[in-house]
Amino acid sequence: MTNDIPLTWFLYFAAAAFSIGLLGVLVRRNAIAVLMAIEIMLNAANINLIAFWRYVPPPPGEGLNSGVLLALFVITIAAAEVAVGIGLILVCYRRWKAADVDQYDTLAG
Amino acid sequence: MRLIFLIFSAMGLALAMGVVLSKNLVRAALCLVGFFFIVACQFVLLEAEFMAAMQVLVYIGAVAILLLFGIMLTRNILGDETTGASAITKAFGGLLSLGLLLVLFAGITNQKIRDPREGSIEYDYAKATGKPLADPGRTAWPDTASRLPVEKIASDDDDETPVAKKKLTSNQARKAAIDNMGLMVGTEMMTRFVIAFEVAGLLLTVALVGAVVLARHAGAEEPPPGKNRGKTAAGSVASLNGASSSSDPIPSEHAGGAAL
Repeated sequence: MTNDIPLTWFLYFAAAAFSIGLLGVLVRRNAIAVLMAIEIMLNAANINLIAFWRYVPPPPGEGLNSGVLLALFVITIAAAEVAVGIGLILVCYRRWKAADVDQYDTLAG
Repeated sequence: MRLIFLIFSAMGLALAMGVVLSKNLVRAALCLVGFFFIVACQFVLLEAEFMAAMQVLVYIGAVAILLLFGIMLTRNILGDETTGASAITKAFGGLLSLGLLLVLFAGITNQKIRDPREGSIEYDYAKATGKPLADPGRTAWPDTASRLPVEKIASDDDDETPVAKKKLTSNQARKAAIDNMGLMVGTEMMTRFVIAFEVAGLLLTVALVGAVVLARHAGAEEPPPGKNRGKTAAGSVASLNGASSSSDPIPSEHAGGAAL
């Protein structure tokens, strides 16, 4: 296909989304906003995986759908992580009455 | 196709910036939902429609709803984001993420197509004599716009065998991997990735139990259902008699002892 999207365009988009997610993790003070930025980063990594699965021939020993399955497992892990993260934030909210990461500093020096 | 990709990418990056920069948490969550949908559109552009459906189901249908419930249950009494990050933190964060962006862009742009066997004797010999190397190995990313081609053979139309029973020659296999992705993903999940599948199931069970344990209200100790039923009735009658008859000078200690 002559008008096909080059592989590097998908990689640029994923890299930009990953950087935006990293900015969110570093700048936001609300714990749930940090979780949302982490989800952005995970989705960017998933786009990377699927783009490489489609564009690059797989190594000789690998299956044909390995990229898709790896992205599926990333989705699974991300969902479990969000569930546990929300549970932890709820517990911290009961303790400190705020979902502010600046206040979760009992272990800090 | 390129125009569609550019429109989707611009919307996706704008929505991601909306998640990161918006002060209102609910607006950030809705921007996140939009970003998830844009990612699903990218999966469709990459011919992985199964992944697009999974993305919408799991991320928008479960993760985003969970995040919205978390926002509902942890509202700041005084309003959202009472403390913002200090200017130094914002500057540092912006610098770091910009640096990462530049490093990634440089890496994507300047990927060299370098053969990893460059120093070896066979490589030098092959270069000198002009003969091709025995095993071409794997080169770098294709730098021109070309997906793995999946040609349609003329005999595919007459082939009546179901996909799972086809003898998987390379082109048929690649075509099946994309056209019948649900079936192929299921097959691979049960054969090649079965351990990962079981471990993922175990992890989901652990996460479920853990989340329930964490979210249980602190101090809600339910009395065991069978043991105290007889005792409670007698105990309450006895305590009533005891409390009314004895005029305690220290009622708190008595109450504390009774509670224990």
